[in-house]
Amino acid sequence: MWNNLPLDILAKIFSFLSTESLARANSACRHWHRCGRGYLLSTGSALTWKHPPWFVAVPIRSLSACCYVHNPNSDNWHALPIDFLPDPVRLISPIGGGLILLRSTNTTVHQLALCNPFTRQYKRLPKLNISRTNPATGIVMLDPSRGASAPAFRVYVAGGMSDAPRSCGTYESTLEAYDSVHERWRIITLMPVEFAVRLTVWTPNESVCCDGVLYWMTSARAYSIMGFEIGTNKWHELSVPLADRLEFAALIRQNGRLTLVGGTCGGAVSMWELGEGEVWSLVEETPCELGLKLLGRKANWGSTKCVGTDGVICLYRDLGSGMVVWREMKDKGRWEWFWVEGCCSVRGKKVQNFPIRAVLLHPNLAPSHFPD
Amino acid sequence: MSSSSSSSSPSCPKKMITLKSSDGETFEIEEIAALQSKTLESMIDENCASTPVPLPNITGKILAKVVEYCTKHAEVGADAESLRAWDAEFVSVDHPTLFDYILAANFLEIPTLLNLACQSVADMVKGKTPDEIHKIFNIKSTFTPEEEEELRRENQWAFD
Repeated sequence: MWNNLPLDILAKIFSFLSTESLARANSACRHWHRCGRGYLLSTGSALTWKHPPWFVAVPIRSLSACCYVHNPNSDNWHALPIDFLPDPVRLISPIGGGLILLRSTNTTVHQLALCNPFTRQYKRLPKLNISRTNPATGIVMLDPSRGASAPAFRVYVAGGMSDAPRSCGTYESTLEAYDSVHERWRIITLMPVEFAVRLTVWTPNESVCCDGVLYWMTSARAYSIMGFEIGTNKWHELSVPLADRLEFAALIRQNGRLTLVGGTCGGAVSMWELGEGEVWSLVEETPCELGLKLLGRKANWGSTKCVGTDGVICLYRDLGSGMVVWREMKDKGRWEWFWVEGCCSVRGKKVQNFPIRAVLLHPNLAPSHFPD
Repeated sequence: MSSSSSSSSPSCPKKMITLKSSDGETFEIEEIAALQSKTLESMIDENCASTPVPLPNITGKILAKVVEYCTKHAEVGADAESLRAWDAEFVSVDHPTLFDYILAANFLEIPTLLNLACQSVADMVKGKTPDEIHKIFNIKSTFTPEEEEELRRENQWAFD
């Protein structure tokens, strides 16, 4: 009886399952396996609320056999083996379809790749036109083309130190973009050298795209933001509230708006939203006791990191240190603060406390089809 | 004496349509309730519902329940809480019946009933191991030992 359910109805049943239940259902029989893996989890807003994103973390500065994921439905940590990755990696950003953009860390030259830790898929992106180390990386999601099974996106790489034999050691002023549809890099524009320097030395990889502008946070002593307008290839700078007093700062996108998350010495972690006329307004502050819990025995916010997407913001440090989460409770019509215990053991086995780098990901158990 | 809109007159009889099950039983349903089925809605729009509508894939036993569901959900003024409780009662049935509800709701395109029944099945799957799923749904694992091994590697994390 249940063996003969049409695939589209079985897929509808599966759409009500959270990721870990779906993984178990996939293991039941071939028919269910085919359905579960062929059914691409939509990132439409209705399903996004039903299935909040998972926190996916990879230890940095060490070769790890696993990545660690936190299931928001069951408040459980799981360890996913990442032995299928040929190189140690650092996560950059999710790009839709359950895929994560990351870069290989066994080479100083910037080498990007895609992976899905749930389907154990990995694909390197082609080499850049101009080899460089430590550039800033930005991602823009594109509207998917009809019938495409993999997400459409563009990756922008700006600045960096040139690795070319003749110009080794100089700052690279070009900005290149990779198009997932055509699968190649193109040099887009040049930028002033002082921008290239800031994007190389002071900028971590994460970027935020809002209204056609790519924003990077740069931390040259006082924090500031660099914006690249994609349509016009123009650069501009944005000032940051409390710029010289922030001990950490991160950019995220929330509600379609650029949001700055930062912590000040002796103070809380605050969130500002960029509004009309490039004016920042304070949106929220972490409750005092949660902030202190995250700080632990540390004296300052320096090692704090932040990831956020629509409906959820996470502040974290190490794998075991726990997280402060601010989540939109759609059924209650408001946001709430939570504490999430860190990952200290999985399946009864103790887990070492690594510093980590994380992304928020909607898990996808259906493999993407990478064209050969 | 004629009224401008016949639907505002309380003494006007409600418009009914007749459905005929695969085993020849007929059921009357208010047009308003029938509109919850996209299939029936388009038939009503195209004036094909004046004679009994044959539904060869739905038995009388199931059709009776589907009519009951649509009629209940077409009622005005029912409060959400009691409707939810009614729905929960409605899907507390044996597997063959639930399965038939799903097929009927799919054929008649009744999204609320389809979601309700599918959610009910999903709730039965949640948190179960593959072995338990085999027992509950009476399905056989059709994997080879090699496939089983690969699956275990892929999904092991979910069994922590």
